[in-house]
Amino acid sequence: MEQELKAHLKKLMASGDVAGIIALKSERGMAKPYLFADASELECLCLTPKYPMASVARLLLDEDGAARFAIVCRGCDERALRELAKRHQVDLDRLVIVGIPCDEEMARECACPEPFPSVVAVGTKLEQWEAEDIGAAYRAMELDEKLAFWKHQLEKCNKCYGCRNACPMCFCKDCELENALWVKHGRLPPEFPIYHMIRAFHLAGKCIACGECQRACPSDIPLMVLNTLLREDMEELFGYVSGTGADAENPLYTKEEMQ
Amino acid sequence: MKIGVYVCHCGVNISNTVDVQKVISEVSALPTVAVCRDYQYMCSDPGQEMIAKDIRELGLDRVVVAACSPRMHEPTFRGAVEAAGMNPYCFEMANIREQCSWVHEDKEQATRKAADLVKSSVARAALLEPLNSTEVPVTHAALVIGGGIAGIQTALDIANSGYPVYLVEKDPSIGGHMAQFDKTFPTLDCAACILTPKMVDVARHPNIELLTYSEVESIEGSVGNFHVRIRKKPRYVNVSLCTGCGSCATACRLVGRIPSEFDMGLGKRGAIYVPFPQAVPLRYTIDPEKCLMLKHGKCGTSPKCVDACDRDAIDFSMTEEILEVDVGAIVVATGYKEFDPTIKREYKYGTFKNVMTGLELERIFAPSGPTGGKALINGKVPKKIVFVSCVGSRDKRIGNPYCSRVCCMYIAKQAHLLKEKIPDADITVMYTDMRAFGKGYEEFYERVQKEGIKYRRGNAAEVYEEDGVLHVRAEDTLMGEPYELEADLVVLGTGLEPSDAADAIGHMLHLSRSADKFFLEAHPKLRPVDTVIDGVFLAGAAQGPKDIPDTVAQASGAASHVVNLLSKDVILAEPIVAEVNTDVCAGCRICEILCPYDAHAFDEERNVMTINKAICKGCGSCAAACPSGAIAMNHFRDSQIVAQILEVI
Ligand SMILES: Cc1cc2nc3c(=O)[nH]c(=O)nc-3n(C[C@H](O)[C@H](O)[C@H](O)COP(=O)(O)OP(=O)(O)OC[C@H]3O[C@@H](n4cnc5c(N)ncnc54)[C@H](O)[C@@H]3O)c2cc1C
Ligand code: SF4
Ligand code: SF4
Repeated sequence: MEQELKAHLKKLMASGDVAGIIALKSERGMAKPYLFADASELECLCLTPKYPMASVARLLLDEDGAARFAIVCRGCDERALRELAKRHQVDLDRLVIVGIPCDEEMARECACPEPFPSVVAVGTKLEQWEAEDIGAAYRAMELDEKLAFWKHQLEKCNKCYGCRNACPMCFCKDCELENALWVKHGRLPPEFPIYHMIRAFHLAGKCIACGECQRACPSDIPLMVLNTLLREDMEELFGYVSGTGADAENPLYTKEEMQ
Repeated sequence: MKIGVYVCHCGVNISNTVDVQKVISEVSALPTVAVCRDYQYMCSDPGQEMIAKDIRELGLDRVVVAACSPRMHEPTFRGAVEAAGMNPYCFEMANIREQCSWVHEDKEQATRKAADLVKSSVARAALLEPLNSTEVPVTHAALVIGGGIAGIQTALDIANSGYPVYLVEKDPSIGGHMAQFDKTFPTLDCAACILTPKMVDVARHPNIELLTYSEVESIEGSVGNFHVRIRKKPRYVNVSLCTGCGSCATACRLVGRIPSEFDMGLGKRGAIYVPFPQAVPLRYTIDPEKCLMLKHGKCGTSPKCVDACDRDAIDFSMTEEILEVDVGAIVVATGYKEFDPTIKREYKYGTFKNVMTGLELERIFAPSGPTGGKALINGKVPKKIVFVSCVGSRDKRIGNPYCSRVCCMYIAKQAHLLKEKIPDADITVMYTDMRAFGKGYEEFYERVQKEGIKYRRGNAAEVYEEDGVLHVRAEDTLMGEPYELEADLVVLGTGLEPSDAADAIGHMLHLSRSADKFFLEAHPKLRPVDTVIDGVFLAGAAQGPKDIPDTVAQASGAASHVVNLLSKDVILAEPIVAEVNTDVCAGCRICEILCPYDAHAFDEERNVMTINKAICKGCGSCAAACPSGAIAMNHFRDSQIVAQILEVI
């Protein structure tokens, strides 16, 4: 798939449609997000590990006023870009999405709801994919067990802000997690449950289930359980699945007509 | 920090359930509290003076009054502390009456709660910041939307006080529904005799610019400074040339072919028309939907109206005009529409020609109406007449649980007028409850009964036809028996609903509706002509079903509020507004979507949000939603609210 993708991108570059390509570059055995501006560099392009590309696009578009870029996107990256666009953080007209599918192993690792973007440019997407229900065990618990579960898990929090830093949906300049009014400075673990509650509230209707926060957490807090439950609530209560097309309005940001 | 705390007994309203002395001793112990006193009635003169004296002598920084709801007396105490030299926004109120003494019985618990509430207010008070109101200049002119009797009265009253008024009416003439009536209850004055002079006054008044056949396109701005765009629809008749002679109307090829809206479709007009002979302005209008020239570009060999008009007033090239005006205040007088009874299928309105609505019957009585004022229904004099009350009112099933307030009385009026014209008519009114609440109404109802009109309690269940004769089935709920009447005229006492054309106005002005969908006043008793939007007032049936006397009274009330506002050169803008910290704003524009008043404007250049202080009502929606915490609500800052909450948990 990698060779096929490189060929595809070379053609795209030659067309002159885009000023560069946002993708991962392998360097000394490691990968980093990179803006490929020259076809010769594409040899170093790599596809793994998974990386929150939408954040890269957001920062880059912000830097450069008008240029158009191509971006190599997985399913989650595309979902993230869509939600960011709804919040005026990226201009989708300035991005050419080059979609690639995830293989089964990756998809399973993320319990991804949809391990492929809307249009797959190279590779073949998984047929008959059903994600593992990671909320199942939690849902089966009694109320007091649920509380105990979170008390135990959130106790492990180091307040490293890794989850927030990795999250492609976090774009605020000042973060409420650093506001001493809510989260006391110099206290570890943070007071239960305010830190994670703020994150959960801010992610309702926003979390696109990429799993970056959970991967970033050094304490292995199962953050995706919380996020999956949130996504379920949004769907059940409002029929909204975040990451879907731009015409689906976020129900949390609409006002009921004043009657 | 020196905080003064004052606990009110409210006579015995508070002190019966709350041990005021105990509250005082607890609150006095707080380190920030410099003085804590109680008094029988804090809102009274000596009560206010007690606070003022402490501010002056003890140099207090903040004042907390523990008493009733801030909705009741916050303005009183803000005024009192301001008079004593303290910033009014350094005042805080704890509600220990509605939220404590009135809702609890156990004195010990209520006392504990009252003490907590006061302590929580003290915690918030310590963090309050002085705020200053900004001065806003006032444009000395008013806009009145709707030219029914409400709009007419309001416009005249404002104009007579010396201020310019723009009166916008969507139809070709002012007059509204009242112009459609022959007589008015309960005095039976002729509607035209009392309405026409007012209409003429409006047209002639030097301070009124009358804009008929016009609609409001957009309204921007806020109290004191609204910018309004008004669309003048083309009449295709040059009003400065037209003399209203009517030659064109008689000449029109379509004369007598188009149902007249003013006659409720019972009479016919041509494509060029005036709605009624006393129309103001008495200028003709061409109906663009019907006119052959405007629809097909051709009317025989030449348009007959043009041939007939010796003033050359007809101009098919006319287009709409946009007029932009600035006003300081707006009165919404958009009136009502008659309930459409087709959805009450049991009454077969629309199926049988001799089932008609109240407003249709009004046109039958009118000398200028389709029958020239003769009591003829489909060409025949009806002898057996049944009135059905509450059609579209007091009916939960169709979503109108409210009483329309005029139907009982207009039914009585119409029954009387029919009896007068057809003395041998057999007239029955099927009513739900008789409501004759106004001045002279009960007397009128009695008079009508004495004239031989039969009133039977219990409403009609069904209208059906048998052998060409209408039957009305009903139950007499006083006798507890069902009965049936034959009828050759069934009149439905149709109720009132808000006018459709009011919707757009409501959206433009961000007006709220009450459950009955009429516009909501700021307070049902004490502020019946204000809306929650400063500078916007209500008059007439736009606010709720009303008879003419109430409409006129409210219209004059609205005018006096407008004049009150326009008489000022500047007004003070409330400083409790939201402010964006542009260094923090990420430009997500969520706040913009949520603001009910469109106070937000996005600064594309800097990629940040800005809020127009003059429009912001301080509702706090945006501040609560901003994920970045970039919006601060003055006087309700997160830190102030958190301090208040922490004190009670
Ligand atoms: C059958 C019937 C008989 C009645 N008889 C009596 C009676 O005898 N005595 C009595 O006291 N009351 C009577 N009433 C009640 C009376 O009609 C009302 O009290 C009165 O008409 C209310 O006046 P208004 O100006 O508020 O509304 P309306 O008369 O409805 O006038 C509103 C005006 O605003 C205009 N308008 C609406 N929207 C817009 C817009 N967006 N832009 C510009 N213009 C707009 C309309 O075209 C209309 O001209 C009767 C009511 C009915 C239904
Ligand atoms: S506080 Fe309310 S009215 Fe003011 S800008 Fe925010 S949302 Fe709009
Ligand atoms: S919600 Fe907050 S961050 Fe978003 S645009 Fe408004 S002020 Fe800025």
